[in-house]
Amino acid sequence: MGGFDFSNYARNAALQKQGFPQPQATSTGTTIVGCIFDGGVVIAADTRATSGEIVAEKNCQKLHYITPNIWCAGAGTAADTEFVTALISSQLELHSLSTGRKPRVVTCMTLVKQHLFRHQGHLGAYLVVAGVDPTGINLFTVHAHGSTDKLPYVTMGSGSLAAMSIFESQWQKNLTQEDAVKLCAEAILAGIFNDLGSGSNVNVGIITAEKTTIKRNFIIPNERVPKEQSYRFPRGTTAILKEQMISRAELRKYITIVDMTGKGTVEGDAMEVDA
Amino acid sequence: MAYLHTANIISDFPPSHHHHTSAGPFVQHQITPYTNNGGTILGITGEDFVVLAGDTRHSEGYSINSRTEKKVHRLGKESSLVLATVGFGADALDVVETMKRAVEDYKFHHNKEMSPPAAAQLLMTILYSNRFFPKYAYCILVGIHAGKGVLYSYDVVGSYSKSGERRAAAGAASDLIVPFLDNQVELKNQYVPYAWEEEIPVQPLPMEKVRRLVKDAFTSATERHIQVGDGLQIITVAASGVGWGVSEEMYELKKD
Amino acid sequence: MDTLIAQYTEPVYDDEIYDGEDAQLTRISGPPTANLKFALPPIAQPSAFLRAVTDDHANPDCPIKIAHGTTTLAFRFKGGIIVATDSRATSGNWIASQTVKKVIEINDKMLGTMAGGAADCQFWLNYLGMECRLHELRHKRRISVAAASKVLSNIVYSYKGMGLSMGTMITGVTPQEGPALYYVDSDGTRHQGDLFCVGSGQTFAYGVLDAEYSYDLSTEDALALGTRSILAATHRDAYSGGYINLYHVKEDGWVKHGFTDTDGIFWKRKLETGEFSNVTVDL
Repeated sequence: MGGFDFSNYARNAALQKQGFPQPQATSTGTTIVGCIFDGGVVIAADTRATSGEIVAEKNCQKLHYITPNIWCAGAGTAADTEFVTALISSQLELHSLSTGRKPRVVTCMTLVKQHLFRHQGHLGAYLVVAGVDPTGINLFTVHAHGSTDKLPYVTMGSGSLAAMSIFESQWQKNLTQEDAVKLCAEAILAGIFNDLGSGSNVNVGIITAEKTTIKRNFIIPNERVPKEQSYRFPRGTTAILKEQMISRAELRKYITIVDMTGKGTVEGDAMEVDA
Repeated sequence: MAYLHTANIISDFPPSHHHHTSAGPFVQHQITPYTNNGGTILGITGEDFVVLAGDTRHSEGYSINSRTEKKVHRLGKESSLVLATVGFGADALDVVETMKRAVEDYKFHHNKEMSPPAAAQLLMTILYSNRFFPKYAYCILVGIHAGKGVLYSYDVVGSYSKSGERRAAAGAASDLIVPFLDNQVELKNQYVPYAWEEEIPVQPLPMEKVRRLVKDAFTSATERHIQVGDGLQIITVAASGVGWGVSEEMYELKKD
Repeated sequence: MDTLIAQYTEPVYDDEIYDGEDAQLTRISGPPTANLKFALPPIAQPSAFLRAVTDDHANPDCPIKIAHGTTTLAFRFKGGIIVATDSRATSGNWIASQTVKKVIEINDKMLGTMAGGAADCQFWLNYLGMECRLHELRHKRRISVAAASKVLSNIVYSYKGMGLSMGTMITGVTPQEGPALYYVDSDGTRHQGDLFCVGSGQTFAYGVLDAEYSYDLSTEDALALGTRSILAATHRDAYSGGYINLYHVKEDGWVKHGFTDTDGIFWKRKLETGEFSNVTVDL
């Protein structure tokens, strides 16, 4: 791994001194939690991503794939959680291939903490690492500077205090899977409603020795009410300075057309559009 | 990662990352006198009525202090004047209290209600009297004057338009709501279809349409701004005969 | 001991004690700003505090943004004085309003223009209007523009260093002076002159105005020049725009010549005169 390119550092510092606002990274604000139970581990996250006070994404996925039996919940800078988990996922895959063994959660946690420590906190990734491997059930937290914890229940992100209040008042030993899921969801809900950095829906991941289940939008407690009226404009409402017609035959001069009907297309979330 | 949090120093406000270089021989330590308590207010006038609304969330940083703190206040039981304030909660409430007392005093002294233009000028005077220690309060003042709905909006040191405005928004999500109002109330960037150079004429909106716009503005702001939500308070002042009627409605907003 | 304390203290609002009939006249609801008492922060350097929280040039992240940015102009010619302004108010990069009235009608004979802090200009020009009326009542004749502008400059000079921000032109026509034009700003500067442009767009306006200005302009041409100069400024200065507010000051008082959208004026001029050929609509 290379490291950071600092060639613009002096320039950006000078610009900042002159009062030029630095671009803001999308942070995941976030409440993320994890909790072990008899037979596995549950992780959960809210789905709000913020950029300052503005909600940048209402239904984002903060549960990141590492291996089929190891998953991470990420808080902090969205890009950092995304890339750190992807990087470690790829390293673990290669490691697993060369050793011929199933990857272990501690290995994942160690790779993550070493990577983050090397970058001295400049990577703003705060992760909950969870999984089940041949050694058993594992649950860790890794902070951006590289410190780690191993606990039966964990919370991270701006909503961590709200979520921890649920664990501290309701957690008990030897939970069933159903109760663990319920408790984690409840902790995320506490974050969603009491922390402004967290919001929208609850995503849950359940990892057992047998299989992993990711339940996207496990709870949807914040559905938008329909708008009072339609904001569709009649055709021709927008002023036009100049019009140019390009015939279908000419179109290929300007753009490349590939017919994707039926195959190869990926369904994204539907955008909010007025009737 | 624990950072030791100390009081901010006034000559470095808001806290910045670089250290003092030439602060002089004395550095005065002082708690910052302002907090941003979030929230948004919005007002729209019609022909013979005016609507003033605000959300009821009161926040500080990532925490919610209250889900039921109203921002829109009537200035007197017999008065058509309604004032909404947003910014730093304590300053905002202080401005409201000062105005309420002034409106009451005026009635005792003159045995009549203070007119909206008079109240508008008074509010400027109050805000400007704090020119060198501004009240961090953005104000929208509305009322009924000569059978018509009037609306005035202010910056923190009291500048306002004497002729009033058709609509105004202030506070956390004003950046989101003002462009919506420009388009839907002032009909900006809308032309008569296929008559390219003819702008759609601006006309006073009916009350039901105004209510719909207010609700949509707030539900939309709640979707995209973390400091807006919980509840929506709408006060409508409508002229009727020689007087006016005031009504208040409360609606739920999302609580996340 | 009591006398010692009394020596160093006073009632908060000494003038608010009701004493007979006079109270009705002196007591006006609200805080005592009529006698210009300003609240100050309880610290050693109020002006440094004010700059820290309000000055978005020194500190772009300041919590309180005060509206700035403008183009205003006024010039003397044989037919009187033309006063023209844009109508945009900005705080940082945000356009706070496109419909600000930057010409302040001090009375029916005198006008003031607004650049800098909106509230500072409004408040002190309004206050100047009051002083002018008091002068009329006391001396049974109207105040000269020279005197009025000096009243204003004396006031702002007394607040020098406190953070007031205003650049204003005071205009009027009086029998003794004829058409008179003064520039007054919050530094305490006061100039008499034939032609001024003030604000962030002043250089663009000067460019057009200086090129075409003549004292012998017809009224029609003078009004057109005022409009064209503001248009040039709104075109190149991001902090100016909106509507063109146009006034003509004559012996018998000022006349308003509209509040016109720059968008319409721009396209009309472009299409009819071929100016602004830098703006193209080619695809």
